Amino acid sequence: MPRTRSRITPPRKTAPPTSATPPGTPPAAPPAETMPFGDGEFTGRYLVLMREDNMKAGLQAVKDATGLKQVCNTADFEASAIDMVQANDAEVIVFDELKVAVVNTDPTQASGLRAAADDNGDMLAVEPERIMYALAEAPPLPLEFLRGYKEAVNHLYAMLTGETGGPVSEAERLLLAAAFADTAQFTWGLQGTRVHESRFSGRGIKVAVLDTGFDLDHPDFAGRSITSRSFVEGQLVNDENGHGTHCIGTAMGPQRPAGGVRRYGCAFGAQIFAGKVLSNQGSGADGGILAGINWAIANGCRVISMSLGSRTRPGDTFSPIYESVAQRALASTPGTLIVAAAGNESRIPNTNTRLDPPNPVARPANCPSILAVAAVDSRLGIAAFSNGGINGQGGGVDIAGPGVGIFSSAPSAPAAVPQPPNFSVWPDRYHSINGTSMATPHVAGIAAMWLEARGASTDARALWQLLTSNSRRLSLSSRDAGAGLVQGPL
Amino acid sequence: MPSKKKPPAPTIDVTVMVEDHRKSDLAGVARDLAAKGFILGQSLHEIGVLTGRAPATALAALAKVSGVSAVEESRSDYHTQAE
Repeated sequence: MPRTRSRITPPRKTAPPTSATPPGTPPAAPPAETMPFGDGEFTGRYLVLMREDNMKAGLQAVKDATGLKQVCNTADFEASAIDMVQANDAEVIVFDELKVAVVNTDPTQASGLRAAADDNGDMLAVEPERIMYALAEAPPLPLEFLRGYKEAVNHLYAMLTGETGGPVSEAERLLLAAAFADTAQFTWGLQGTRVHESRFSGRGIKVAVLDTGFDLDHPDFAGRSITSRSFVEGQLVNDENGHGTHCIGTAMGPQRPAGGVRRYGCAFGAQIFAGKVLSNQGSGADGGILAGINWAIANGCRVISMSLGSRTRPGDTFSPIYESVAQRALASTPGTLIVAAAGNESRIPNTNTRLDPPNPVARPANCPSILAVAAVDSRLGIAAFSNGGINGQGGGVDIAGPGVGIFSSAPSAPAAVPQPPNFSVWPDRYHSINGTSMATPHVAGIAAMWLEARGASTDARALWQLLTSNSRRLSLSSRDAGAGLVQGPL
Repeated sequence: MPSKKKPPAPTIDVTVMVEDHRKSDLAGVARDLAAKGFILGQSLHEIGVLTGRAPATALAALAKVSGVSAVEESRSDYHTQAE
């Protein structure tokens, strides 16, 4: 359901709030032709996600790529209640409400379908049919359709009704016991988001990180395209805080860090735009943030990452100004996606437990047209501090990213100013910290990778849809984790 | 004897969103706002926003200016979101 009543409708969420896909271990490396999209149960059919604004072209592209002709369309049935006898005879079932086609095809045709999707902007994604995907926003389906999916349906039922226990939950618990971990080669965040297996780097895509600036002399970024500007009066871009350098590292750090450490950055081919809108003391104001957004858009940045926020209270509404700005950014050509941190106010002080309910998503991430990012830990559980979507009118979480124990770049000596929560001095060059701030640049960097994968002409709304529809479903509520854990394109 | 002249109202930082159809004429909207006490800071053309200062009592009047879709008192309580 859309989060907004705004004039310009933000992209529809295409992911279900919860899923039958159990969280846990990273996808094993399956044969590329059979399971390129992670773990789960598959039906042998394929799902094609089409553009919301041009379903007809998407369907034609499916037909052209596969040669299939027998199409069954939910719009042809009363109240979209599809007749399963007819549906079973169809080669392509089109779910109009979902903008999804279920294609009954063999692996050879599927391969052609995927290749066509790479070249055709009318097909946003092709993936093997997982049971939950088709249930994402569908009207209630007849039981016949679910026959054969019994186990997954039981799982869904248990989750939707709050009933837990039984063999599925036990399996989930076992999977949860397996966690990601930093290795010598990659951070756990890059593994959990599939970035380490991706062939894309966000090459040529301009990404702005609006934060505390950047250590322009960091050796890991020597030779990179860096454009910078300070919007903080009296302070240079140079990051004397550390937070901005850390976030830029996560979004766009190098493939092979000069310091010989593990890879920690997502879009190593992207062009860096470092806008300083938060002071060296880590705070900022509307004037600087909006000026930074304006600068990023004027420079053609396709993604703006904002690991910043202002606390909100239950019942607060979003800022109409930030919402209008984000709508204009999305609607421009080819458009700019603004990604922002959901905020960190939900940990019970001095404990590692989370408020129930959590505190609401911070401003400006609470705008319907800004992609709000929650934080998960390496076991894919929600971080105790991560805020939740408890305010209506768009104040939801849209997606989750790795946000606990995140290793990334830190300013070189002289050391950054003491940082909360312990006001300890950061070590030189690299540091591991927590926050929805750390989850946000994962999403921003991965967004740049998707733009490279799907073509730079992909518009910002389609990019939003790509991110949410390709996210890894988690056993977490949409209130906490939105569509799930962001995933890079393979 | 105390003066009867009222002291000037304190000014606050404000952010003004300009409607789409006036986005290309930010200067004109800023002029109309100035007549209501707005002091222009920045004109942000890409996003159609004006920032500046105005008397705290003038916000409602600013919001009624033609071409203005929203006026907010600026906030300065944004923080990094690292724990």
